[in-house]
Amino acid sequence: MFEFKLPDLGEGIAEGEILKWHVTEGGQVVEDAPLVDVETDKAAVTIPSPRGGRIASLRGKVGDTVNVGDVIVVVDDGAEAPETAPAKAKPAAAPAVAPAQVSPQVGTQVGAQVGAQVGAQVGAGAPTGPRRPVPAAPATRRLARELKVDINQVPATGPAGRVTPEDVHRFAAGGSAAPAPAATPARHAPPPPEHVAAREVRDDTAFAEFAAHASATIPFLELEPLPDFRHEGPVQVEALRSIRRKVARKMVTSMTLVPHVAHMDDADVTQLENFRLRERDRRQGAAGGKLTLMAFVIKAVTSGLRATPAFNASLDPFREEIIYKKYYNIGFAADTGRGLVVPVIHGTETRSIVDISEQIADKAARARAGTLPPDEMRGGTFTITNVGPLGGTALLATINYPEVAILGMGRVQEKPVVRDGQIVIRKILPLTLAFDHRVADGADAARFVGELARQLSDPNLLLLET
Amino acid sequence: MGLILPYTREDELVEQARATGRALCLVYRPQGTCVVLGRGGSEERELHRAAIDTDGVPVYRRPGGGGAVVLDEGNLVVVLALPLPGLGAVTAAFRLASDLVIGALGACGVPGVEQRGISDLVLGDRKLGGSCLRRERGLVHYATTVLVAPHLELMKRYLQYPPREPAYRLRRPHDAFVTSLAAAGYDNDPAVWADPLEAYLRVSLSDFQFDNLRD
Repeated sequence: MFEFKLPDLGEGIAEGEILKWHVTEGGQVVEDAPLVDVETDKAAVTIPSPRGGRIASLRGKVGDTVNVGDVIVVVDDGAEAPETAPAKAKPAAAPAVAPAQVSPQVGTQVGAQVGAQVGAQVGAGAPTGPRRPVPAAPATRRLARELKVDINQVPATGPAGRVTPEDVHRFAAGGSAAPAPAATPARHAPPPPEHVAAREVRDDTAFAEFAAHASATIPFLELEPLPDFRHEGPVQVEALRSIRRKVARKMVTSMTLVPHVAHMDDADVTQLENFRLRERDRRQGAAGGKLTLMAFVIKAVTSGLRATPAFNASLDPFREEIIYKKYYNIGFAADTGRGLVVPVIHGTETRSIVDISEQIADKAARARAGTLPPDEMRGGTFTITNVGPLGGTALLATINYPEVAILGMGRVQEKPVVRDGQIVIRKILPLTLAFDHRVADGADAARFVGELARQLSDPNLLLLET
Repeated sequence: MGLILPYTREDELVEQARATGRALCLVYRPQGTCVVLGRGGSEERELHRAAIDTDGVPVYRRPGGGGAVVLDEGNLVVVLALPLPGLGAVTAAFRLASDLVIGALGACGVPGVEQRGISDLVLGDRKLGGSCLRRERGLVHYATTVLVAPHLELMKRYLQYPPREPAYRLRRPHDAFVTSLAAAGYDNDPAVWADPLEAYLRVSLSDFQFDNLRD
């Protein structure tokens, strides 16, 4: 008699549900013929019979849950004493590669999505894993090509599994072994930093794991679970979702990746406001008739971006390149009631102020209604946010990554200022440019905002220079 | 109980892999709308059969495990037939297959997809694709649905709240739990994605050796 136990089907799988018996009690089965279908979470497994013979008994019916290690069937194979198969899946059929060539952890490592570790394994003579782009700077790739080295074969020692020029040289010289820490990653090594942010934090164990990873990544960072605020007073808990979640992701990404610097200045918009309000009254009911201050600012910003391309760019930290865009798509932050969205006006360099004003009104209305399609919120090269109508003196905004700058507009207020030795009352618009210090410096920002303030101070300049 | 047909769309690929011992892939767009139960799925527990019948939507049962799904032309199905020796290593097989699909999505410009739960493909904290697996000795048949621009309302109409759920779902209803490439701001045409994904997977599988897959 042969007692067959439900074999180990995989890590973390302790049980399975019997879906179907391919045999019946008293019937015959031949070795390797399908015996039973078992379902674990999401996987249906057809288990073959390890022995041939007569089915003496089935130890479960369809729908029953059986544990790994439970006897599920007894086969009368002619042997007298009961014999029990170990609760292990039958070993693999003869592998295509001789065992000596096979690294025992390759499958696991590949499955664990540790790309850099696969590279290290490859360098150690293990079979190749799935091909995926190996992280490396363009210069390193060029070097590899010049040295006729397959960069995919090079053990990486750089941050986050990046192949460095030194790695390429070492490999080309025949020394495939990388320095110990990167070349022999532990099977359960912490994931690279970019995997940390998305980890689920649901319970104390998960939190502790997350905090450990985060703390290992960022010096001095100390994360503690939030206290239970219900002990302090009534609370209402809402899931972070939809636009709120998107904003959270965008902001954390931007503040984590981009070194922000801010430059502030005031624009005297007295003349512009007089002109704007006069024209708005005159154009009431016509297209673009609302003629908002934002439309003028967008036009002036577009002009400024043409003069200072650094603020109409993106920085690719992985290729170490700055991409200067020769098109001007200005986004403006819109409060929809459901959260913040940024409609984009494309091609502002070719649009009139009236046209831009019309676009603002139209896109803002559709954004509030939730009908603005994603296409009209994509492709921005620079963003403006205006909290002026809601109050406040100035705003330090977070850059709308992967853009490199954002302009915050405060509230236009009448203020006493000195002109030609006299104290006069002028309409002042506070401007704050937050920018990516990797791409531009304070002097660039000062010139950009200064020029912006100059153009906004005189509508004639806007007509002439934009 | 209504009519449940066998889901045979992927059989030819699996047979070919079984016969040749080669790792094969297929990326296809479902024609029309249908509901597909897992190998051991229950229509009483998982489906809103009345709505399905009212709409004249066919119901199939696939050979792989897992819960019921709605397929429509806004989805892509990515199928891998992998000649993996042995019988067990189901968890590792899921990871391996997910990693291949995640790599393909990344190569096609969709970074940040992760595997969560048993085998879900997740973008942010939302499910972008559900996977299932059939394991036989020497073979893994894996299929995942990548939601490109699906009719999400059909999930609620045709599917009950699933009897099992991954921890990260947090009791969210279908519409708050799933996302799609279109919703994440990517191209909403499944046809645009199918060829590049399959091409990347073919390259990945062309020189892949699966010996000694272990959990």
